[in-house]
Amino acid sequence: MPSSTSNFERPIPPQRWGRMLAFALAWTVLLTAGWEILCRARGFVPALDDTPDLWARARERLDRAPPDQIVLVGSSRMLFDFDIEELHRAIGGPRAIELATVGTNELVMLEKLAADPHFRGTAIVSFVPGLTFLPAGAATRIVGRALDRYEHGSISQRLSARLYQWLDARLAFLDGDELTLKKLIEQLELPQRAGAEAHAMFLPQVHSVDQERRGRMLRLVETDAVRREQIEAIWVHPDPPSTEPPAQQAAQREGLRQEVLWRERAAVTKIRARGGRVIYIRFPSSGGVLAEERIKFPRAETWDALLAVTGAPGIHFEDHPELAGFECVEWSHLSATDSVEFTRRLIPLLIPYLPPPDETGHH
Amino acid sequence: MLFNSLTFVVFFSFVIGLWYLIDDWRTRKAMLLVGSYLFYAAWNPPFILILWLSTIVDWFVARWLYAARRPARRRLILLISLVVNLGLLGYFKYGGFLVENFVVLARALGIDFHPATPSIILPIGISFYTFETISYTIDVYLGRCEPFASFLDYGLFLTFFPHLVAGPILRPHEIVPQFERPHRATSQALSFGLFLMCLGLFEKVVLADTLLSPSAEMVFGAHQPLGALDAWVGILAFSGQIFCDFAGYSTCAIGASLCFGFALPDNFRSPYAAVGFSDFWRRWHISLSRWLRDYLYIPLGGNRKSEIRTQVNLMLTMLIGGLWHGASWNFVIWGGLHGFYLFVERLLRRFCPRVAWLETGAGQFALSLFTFFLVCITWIFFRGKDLHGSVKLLGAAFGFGGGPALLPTQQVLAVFVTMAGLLASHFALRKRGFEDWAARVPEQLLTGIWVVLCFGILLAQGTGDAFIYFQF
Repeated sequence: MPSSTSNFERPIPPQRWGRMLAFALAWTVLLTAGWEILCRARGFVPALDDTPDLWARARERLDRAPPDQIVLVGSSRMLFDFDIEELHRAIGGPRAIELATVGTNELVMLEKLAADPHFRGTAIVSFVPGLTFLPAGAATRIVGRALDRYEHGSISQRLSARLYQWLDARLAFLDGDELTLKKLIEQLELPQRAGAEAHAMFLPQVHSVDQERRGRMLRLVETDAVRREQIEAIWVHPDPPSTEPPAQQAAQREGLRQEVLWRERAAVTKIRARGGRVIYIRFPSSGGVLAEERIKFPRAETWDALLAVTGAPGIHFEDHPELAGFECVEWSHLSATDSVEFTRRLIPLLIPYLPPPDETGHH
Repeated sequence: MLFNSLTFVVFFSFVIGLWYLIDDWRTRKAMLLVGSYLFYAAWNPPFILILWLSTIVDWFVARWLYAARRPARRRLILLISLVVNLGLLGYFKYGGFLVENFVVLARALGIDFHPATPSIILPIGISFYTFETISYTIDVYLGRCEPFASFLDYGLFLTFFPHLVAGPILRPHEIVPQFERPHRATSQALSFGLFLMCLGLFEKVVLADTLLSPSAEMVFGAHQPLGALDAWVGILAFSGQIFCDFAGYSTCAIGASLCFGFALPDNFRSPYAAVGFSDFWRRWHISLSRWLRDYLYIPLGGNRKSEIRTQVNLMLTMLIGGLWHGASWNFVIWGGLHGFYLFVERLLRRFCPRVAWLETGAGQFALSLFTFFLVCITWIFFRGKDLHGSVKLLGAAFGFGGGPALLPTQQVLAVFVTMAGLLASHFALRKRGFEDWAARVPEQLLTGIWVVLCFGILLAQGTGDAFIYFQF
C-alpha cells in the first residue's frame, strides 16, 4: 500500500491506566466476593440454571441415543415431579432424556419428535390443561428458544455455554432467575399503573436442575411461606379482560381445543406409525390451581378427549389412589422428596405401556 | 463469536498472549489473521468460504487493475469485483426480499406466481466486509492507492477480528500503514484498550440488553393498543438500545484493536446531541456515512450540480443507506425519512434567515432535542416488524392508541434514568471527545467508573444476545 500516507493514531488520555487497571481489578474482585457471600447468606446456593443451552445438550443426546430411547416431554410438572433415577432403577437401559421445559405446551416438542425419522422410542408426555390448550405465544416461547439453540447454536455459543455451566455450578450469584441485574430491578416494589400489574408480577426461582436436567423444587419454596404465596398468586392470576363478546370467546376456545386435539392426534399417529409410543401423564395439582383447572378445563373436554382422539394411553393422578394423596408445595408442583415417591408409585402403572423387556430384562 | 461471550474472553486472552509472546512481526500478523478466521468461523464455519472468495477475487482484481492501461479493460476488471461482491451481498441479503416483492407485483398484475421459498441464512458481517473490499478496488481503479504488496496485510485489512463483523468500515489508508510498521501497544495503550472494552461491554450488556431492551421488546411486540406513555417509553428505549448496542460494539472493537497496538477510527461521536441531520450523520455510524458519501453521493454528482440534483443525490444515498441495513421496506422508509429531513434542513439553511437565539447555548440545546425527537420517529420504522405496526405505534405515540398500561413502573424508570444519563453524556461530550474528557477526570473517579463498569457487567450476567448490527 505504498501510496498511502496516513499515520492514523488514537489519543491515549494521559492517566496512569496501568495503575487504574490494577485497582479496578482488585475492587471488582472484592465486590464480587462480597456479593457472592451476601447471596449465600440469603439462602442461594451454587446451582445450574435451566438454560436453552442445557436443553440443547439434552436434545443432542437424543441424536446419539438408540432409536428406542425414552424421552420426557412437557412442562415444569414433568421436569420437577418425575425422577429419572427412579425410572432407571426400575427398568434399566439407557437413562430417560429430559426434554420438558417450564411453562411450555408439550405439542411443540411432540411434533418435533414426530418429524424426526430417527425417533422410534417412547415419549412420556405431561399434560397440563392450561398449557396444552395454548399452542402459541408464551407457552411456546421458552421451548422455542431452546429449540433455536439446538437447531442453530454456533460453536462459539456451545463453548460459552460449557464455560458458563462450569462457573454456574460453583457460584451462587450466577442465578438467571433472581440475581441478574434485570431480575433485581424487576423485584423492586413500586406502585404500578392500572393494567400493568400483571406484567409487573415477579416469579421467583422455583426449581434447580442437574447436568441431565432433572429438575427439583427448591427447598426455599417449601420453607419460605412468602415466596410460596408469591408463586401461588402468579399461578392463579386472572387473565386480562377480553374486549370480545363472550360468545366469540367461547367459539375461539372451542376452535383452539379442536385444533390442539387434532394436532396431538397427528403427532401421536406419526410416532406410532414408526413403532414409537406416546404415554400421557396428568401430574398432581392442588389448592387454587386444581380448582381453577377443574373450572376452566373440564376433564371430559380435555384429558378424556385427548386420550380418545389420539388413542394413546394415559395415567391421571386422580384415577389411582396411590397417586392421589400428594399435596403440591405451591399448588402446582411436588416437593423434591415427594417427586421421588410419586415416581416410585407411578412406575408400576407406567410399565405396561412401555415396550416389553429385552433378554437383559431392560424395557 | 460475540464480544459479550465467555468464548471471546478465552479467545482474546489466548490471542493477545500469543501476540506479546511472538517476536517476529510477520509471524505475529499471520497468527492474528488465523485467529481472525477462527473468530469468524466460530459462528458458522462454511461461511468463511464466502469471505475467502471475496478476499481472493479483490486481491487479484486490484493487481489486474493496476497493471491494465486501457480504460475499457479497467472498467471490465472493476465490474468483476462489483459483480462478485454485490452479487454475493444481493443473493444472501436481498434474495428473499426480491422474490417476495416479485410475487406481490406478479399478483398485482393478475399472475399467480408461486416460487420456491428461499431459505437463505445471512452470513454475518457480509455488508461490512463487502463495503471494505469494494472501497479497496474502487480506490485502486481511481488511482487513489496502489494494490497491497503483502497478501498478509491485505487479508488482515479485511479480516482483523475486532472490526470484521460490525465495523467500523475501514479504508485501506486507515489501517494498512499500521500493519506495515512492526510495533506493540504500549502498556498505556493496552490498559486504555481494556478500559474501552469494558465501557463497550457495559453499553451492550447493561444499558442495551438489561435496562432498555425489555421495554423496547414489549412495546414493539405488543398486540394490544398502546397509550402514549408506553409508546414513547418503548421508542426511547429502542433509541437508546440501538445506540448502546452498536456504539458498544464499536467501542469494544476500538479497545480490542488498541490492545494489539492498532488504532481504529471513531464510529460514533455523541450523535444524540447533534444539531440537525447533517450534523447527526457526521456523528452516527461515521464509517458508513463516509463510505456512502465517497462511493455513492460524490460519484452521483454530490452537490456539484444543480440544487435539485443535489437533493435527488441526497435522497438516493439515504434510501440506499436504509436498504443497506436490511431487505425490508421499513428500512427504505427509515432512509427516506432521513433523506427528507436532510432535504428540509438544506432548504431551511438556504432560504430562512438566521435566528440569533438559535445560535445561543439554549437555542442549540433546543435544536438538538428537536433533532433527537425526529430521530426517534425514524427508529419506529427501523425497529417495527412491518409498516402497519410502525404506523400504529406512531399513532399511539401521538395519542391515537389508547389502551391499558403495559410497562411496569420499574421498566419505565429504567428507561427514563438510562436515557437521561445517555443524553446528558452526549451533550457533555458534544464538542470534545471521550479521550479529552477522560484526560481531565481525577484518577480515582475514573477507577471508580471502571469498577462500576466491571461489576455492572458481572451483575447483568448477559445471556450472550447478539449485537443488533450483526444482522446487517
